[in-house]
Amino acid sequence: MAPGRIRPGGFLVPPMDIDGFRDGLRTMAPAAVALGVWGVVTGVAMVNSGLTVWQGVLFNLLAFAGSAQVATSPMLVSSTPLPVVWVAAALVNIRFLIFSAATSRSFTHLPRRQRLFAAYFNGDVPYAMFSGRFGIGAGDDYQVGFYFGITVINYTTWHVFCTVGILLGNLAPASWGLELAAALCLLAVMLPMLVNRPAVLGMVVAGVVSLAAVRLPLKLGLLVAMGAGLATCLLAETWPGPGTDPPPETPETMVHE
Amino acid sequence: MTWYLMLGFVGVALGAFICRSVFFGIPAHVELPPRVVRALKYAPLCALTAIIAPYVFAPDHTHLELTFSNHRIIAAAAAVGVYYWRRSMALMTVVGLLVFTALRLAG
Repeated sequence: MAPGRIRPGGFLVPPMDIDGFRDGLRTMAPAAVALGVWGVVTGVAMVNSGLTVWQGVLFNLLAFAGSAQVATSPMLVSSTPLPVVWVAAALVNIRFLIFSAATSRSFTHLPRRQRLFAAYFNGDVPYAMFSGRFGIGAGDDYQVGFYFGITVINYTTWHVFCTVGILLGNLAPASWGLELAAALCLLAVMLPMLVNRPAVLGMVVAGVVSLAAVRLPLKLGLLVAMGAGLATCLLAETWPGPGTDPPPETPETMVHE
Repeated sequence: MTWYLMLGFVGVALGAFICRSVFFGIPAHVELPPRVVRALKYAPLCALTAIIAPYVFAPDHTHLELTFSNHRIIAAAAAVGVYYWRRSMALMTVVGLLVFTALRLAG
């Protein structure tokens, strides 16, 4: 990547390429609509679980972890013991571990405080966009700019629309079932990852196991299904049949609008 | 705001930040094993599938509901169709929700 104009870094904000930042903004903009819907839905779901408006806003600002907030709000309202709440949230958030392992390799040239600052903004959509574009490997100023371009939109869109959802919470009754939007958003992120046979097999196994294990408590079924799907992908890649595609280096760009 | 809720929020937030940042804290000279990198390529697909599937096929989180009266399946199928037709995240979400709402109103 040819070096472009560089915005000097601050204490927490790393130096970044301005063209990369703009590239990130452009890449993320079309996804903001879907993300906004998802944010509204999360806000509605939290308030419909019984949190007040201010509790919902505070929880969202602190955690910035949509699915975990939706999962634990009803637990908190019903006074579930805190360790159970925390473990359940951590299990839902394990995917952040995976996302961070992949994305973090592009930030290793930065000082630790700037790396941790970048980490705070990582999430489902930034991960999908960033890995879809750059894969896993050493980063540069352009990639850092791209990342912050994506996360600026992701972070502000999320908080604005989640707050809107919290305020609208009582207006859109739970019977409308609009929380389906969350599943559809995740589906949109997931489909472009179906790039070869191991991926398709892994998806099938993860899906079937998640349904078979749906009654396990504390969302443990989620972990079991993830593990089974992942094992299937790796096995299918190790023993390729005729006509198997090479493993995905980088999935194609996530948003094609 | 009770201490209970406050502690609950802070604990969830800390857990989320730790999961996000663990690998960002690892210094540059530590290389991830190739096996881990390979697994990472497929992990998000499996995680997202495991989150979505129960949502669509087992809405009450206890049993499968593989019938036409489960509007989520039809709405999700429509959304997938729209995705492969137009490759648009926003459009597939909107169409999926519209189909779902239309089916709900039609009873």
